Amino acid sequence: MNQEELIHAYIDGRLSDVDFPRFEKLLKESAEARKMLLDFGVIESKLNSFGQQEQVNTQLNEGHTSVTKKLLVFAYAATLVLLLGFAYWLHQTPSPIARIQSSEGASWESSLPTSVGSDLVSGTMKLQTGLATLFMESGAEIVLEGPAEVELISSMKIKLLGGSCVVDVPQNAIGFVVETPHGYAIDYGTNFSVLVDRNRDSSSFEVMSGEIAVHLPNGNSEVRLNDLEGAEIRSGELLASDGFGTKPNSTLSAKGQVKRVLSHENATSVIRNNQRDLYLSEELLLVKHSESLPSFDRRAMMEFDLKEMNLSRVKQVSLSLNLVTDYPRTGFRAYLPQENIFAVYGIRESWESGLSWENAPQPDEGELLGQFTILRSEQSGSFGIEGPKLLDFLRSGGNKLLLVRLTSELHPSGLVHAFAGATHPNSVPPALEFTMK
Amino acid sequence: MTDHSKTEHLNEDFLRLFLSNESQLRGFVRSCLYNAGETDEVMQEVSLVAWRKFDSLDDKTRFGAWAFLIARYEVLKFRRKKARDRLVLSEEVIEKLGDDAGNQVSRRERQFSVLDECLDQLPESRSKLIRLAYRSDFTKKKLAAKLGLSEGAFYQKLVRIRTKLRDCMNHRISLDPQ
Repeated sequence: MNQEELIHAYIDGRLSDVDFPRFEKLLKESAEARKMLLDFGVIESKLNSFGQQEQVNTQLNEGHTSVTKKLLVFAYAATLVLLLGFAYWLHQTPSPIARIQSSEGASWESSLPTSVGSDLVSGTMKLQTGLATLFMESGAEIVLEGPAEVELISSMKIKLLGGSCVVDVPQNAIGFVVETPHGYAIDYGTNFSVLVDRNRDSSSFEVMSGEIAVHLPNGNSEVRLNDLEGAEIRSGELLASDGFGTKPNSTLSAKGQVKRVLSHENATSVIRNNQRDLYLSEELLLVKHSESLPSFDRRAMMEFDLKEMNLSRVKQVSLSLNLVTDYPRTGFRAYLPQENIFAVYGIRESWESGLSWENAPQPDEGELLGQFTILRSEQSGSFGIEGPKLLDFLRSGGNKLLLVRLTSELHPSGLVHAFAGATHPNSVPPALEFTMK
Repeated sequence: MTDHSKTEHLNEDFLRLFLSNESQLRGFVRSCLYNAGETDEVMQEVSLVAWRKFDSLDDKTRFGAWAFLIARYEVLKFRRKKARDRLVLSEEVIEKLGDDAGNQVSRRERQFSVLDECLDQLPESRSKLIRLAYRSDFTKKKLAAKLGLSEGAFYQKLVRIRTKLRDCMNHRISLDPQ
């Protein structure tokens, strides 16, 4: 690559690790190269606003918001309004949990910023008229229909106080909760709608596709809803209904039902050098293997409470782990092999918190239940194992799993794989997903 | 003047000055960051810090140079946060880019002022390609596939368009050296 090609590759984000030192040396030594880069900076800045304009135009022409469109760009005008808005929320310091992705004829009454592109912290918003789409940090997307009032609690939880909304939850935000004054719904990967009718003093839930569980506020009663099924909570009673109608339909089908158990408490990692404070995080399950620098090796353990599960009725089971990117000491993906293989072992030994590498359960004390692969190019997503071995292990009374990475990094400072742990703020903890007979 | 209307004036002045310098600041910030997507993050900080400190800037005609220092500082700060990421330029290189950018302010101003004309001159097919390529909701890889091009061929097209724009821009400012 010549000088100019290096600069273009840098701008396009396709410069290789090998070429980067050359590029940096070039900038250090050549004023001409820096001038060229800064010239291209001018062009990039212009083209980006050009592209954003195009995007905004297309969205306006489409006249609706595609539910899959995740990334939003600040419309130029909105940025200006926002300048003063930033100050407001940054002074408050809590980190944003959602962003206003788009709005159609929306008028707001809110102490939170309301222009498109605004980052939102927790708080209450009232949409008087129109439609507004909120994109939660967790990946869930909520279309509010005015008049509606919503309280943003966290990136995994909102409370609809009045009006209606449609919620679209991707795989990695499973477990998203919508509360209402009358109860709440836990999402299991779906598109569903909620209507809070203040006059009727009731909340209705309807699933387009997928599955949700609807509960009364005390969490006791539960109704599982699948495609095109609905339920209503009124006068403290949870009734199945056909969508938003009131026709009772108390025989909800249970066939092919999926139940999910999350590892809510006992999930942790250990590191070979036992410097837990420095290199581990309670929110994450960290896994690493290095043949050249083994002192930073990590493995993870998780426990599931299966007391409520009737395992004899289970047809199939799978383990799903959410790969996340928020571990700060993450290392380089370029130093990993293209395919990284992980193994899950069933273990019977318990562990205590803050345990050492030596005292924690070891793979050779457990039984291998399955393996999965993560490509080094993959940064997030849901990974895991399934199969009869896992089910047999659980049926034999096992409820603890151990996760290790079998493949080593190629050089020191390779990536540490981080999965959402039991207390991760905006991703779902390890989950066992049971398909019932 | 009441305190309230004084504040309003300050806000208006700030917005006007910030906006007239925004593109240039953004261009510099973009040059220092490998990931285009991080530009917004740094620019937010720049705008916020500038807004907070605006009151303390006595000579408002110096806004450009002053905002530049803030941008440079914010890039360095961001860089420290990302020091362990891939492909992060060294502080030394960023300082050098900052020095150069600071010395070439009028060159960049003139570049911005002629760039629109250069963009207007692009043939429709190229203009369309560039509009699509810089939308943040398409990855370049997907777009290449959509256009039936190999990734390499697609990037080559982008390179050619940008080179053309740079030539046009620099040609125009050389005609009118001011």
